[in-house]
Amino acid sequence: MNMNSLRQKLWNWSLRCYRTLLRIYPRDFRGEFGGQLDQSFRDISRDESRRGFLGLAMLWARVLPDLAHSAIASRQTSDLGWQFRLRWVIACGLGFGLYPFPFHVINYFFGFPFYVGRFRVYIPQPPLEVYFAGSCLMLAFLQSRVVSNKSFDRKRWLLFTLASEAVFSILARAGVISIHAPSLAAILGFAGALIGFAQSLALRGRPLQVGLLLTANAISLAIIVLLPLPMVLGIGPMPPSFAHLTLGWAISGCTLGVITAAPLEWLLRTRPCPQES
Amino acid sequence: MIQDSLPLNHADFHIMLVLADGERHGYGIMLDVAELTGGRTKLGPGTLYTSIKRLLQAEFIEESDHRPDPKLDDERRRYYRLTQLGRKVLAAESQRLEKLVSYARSRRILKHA
Repeated sequence: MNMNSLRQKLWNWSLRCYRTLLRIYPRDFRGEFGGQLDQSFRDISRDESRRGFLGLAMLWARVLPDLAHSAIASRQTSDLGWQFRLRWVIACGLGFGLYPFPFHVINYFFGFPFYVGRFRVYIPQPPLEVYFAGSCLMLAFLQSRVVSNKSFDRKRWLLFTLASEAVFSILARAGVISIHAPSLAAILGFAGALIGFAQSLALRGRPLQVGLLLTANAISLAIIVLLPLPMVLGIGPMPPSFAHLTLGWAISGCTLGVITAAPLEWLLRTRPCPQES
Repeated sequence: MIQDSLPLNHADFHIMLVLADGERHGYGIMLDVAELTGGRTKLGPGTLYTSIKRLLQAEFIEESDHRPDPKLDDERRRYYRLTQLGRKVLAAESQRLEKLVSYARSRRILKHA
C-alpha cells in the first residue's frame, strides 16, 4: 500500500467517523442540518488535506470539542419534543400534588413558641397569601427545573410567578374577585390566566405566544373544578384525606401540564437565545 | 423585542456580521468569520449550525433561494441572509459594543483612535 492510498483511506475513514458521530445530535437537528454538517466537514477536510497527516490531526482537534460543545447546546435547546412535555407534565403534577405541603409546614410552626432570652414568643399566623406564595414558589421552582436552559433566567420566572399570585391576592383583598362569584371555574381560570401571562412574559414571549399560554393556563385551571374527581379541591361528600387531596391536586397539575406543554414548547423553540451575562 | 435579544452570543454576532455583507453558505460563513477575526475565531460545523438554527428560529436570518452562480456552486448548499429584524438586532448589538468601547476609552484602557 503506497502513501497516497493510505492517506486517502484515512480521510475516508475520518469522514465515516464524523458521520457516525453526528448521531449525538438530536434527531430533529440532524434531519435539518445533517447534510450541511457533512458538507462543511468535507469542505474543511479538503482544505486540511493539503497539510497531510498534520492536517488530519488539526481537523479532529478542532472538530471534536466543537461536536461535544454544540451537541450539548443543541440538546439544551432542541430537546423539547415528547421528553420535554413528559417532564413538564410530571413537574406540574408534582408541584400541584405538593401544593398543600407548605400549608402544613406553616401550620406546624404556627403557635409554636420560641425563646428570645427569657421571653417566650409565638409565631403569629401569617396571612393566607403567605401560604399560597409558598405553594406557588414550589410549583414555579419545579417548573423552572424543566424549562431551564442556557439562556433561561430562573429568578425572573420565580419572580413573575410570584407577582401573578400577588396581583391575584390584591384583587381578592380589594373585593374585585370573590371565591363565590361568578363561579369557582371562572376564578381559577382568571388565576391561571394571570400565571400564564406572567410566565410567558418571564420567557419574553411574543404577543401571540403570550396569548396562547395565557389561554391554555386559564382553560386548564378552570376545568380543574369540572374534573370528575370529588376529592379535587376537597369537594365531596366526605372530608378528603391528605392523600386524596394530594392525588386530586396531582391529577389537576398533570392536566395543566398536558394542556400548557404545547404552547410553552412553541414559545421555547422560537425565543431568541441571548448570551448569558 | 430587539433589546430582549441582547447581548448576542459570540458566534451569533460574528455570523450576522458576516451576513450583513451579503448571503453566504455555511462554509463561506466559517471562512469569512475566520478572516474577519484574523483566524482567532474558527467556527466548527456544529457551532455554526447550532447558531444558524437559533438565528433562523429567532427570524434574524433566513434561507435564501438565490444562488450566486448555480453552475459553479453545489446545488445542495443552503445560503443564508440577514432579515430586516436581524439587521436591526445587529445594529443594536453593535451600538451596545460601541458604548462599551467608549467606556473603555474614557477609562484610558484603550487609546483614542
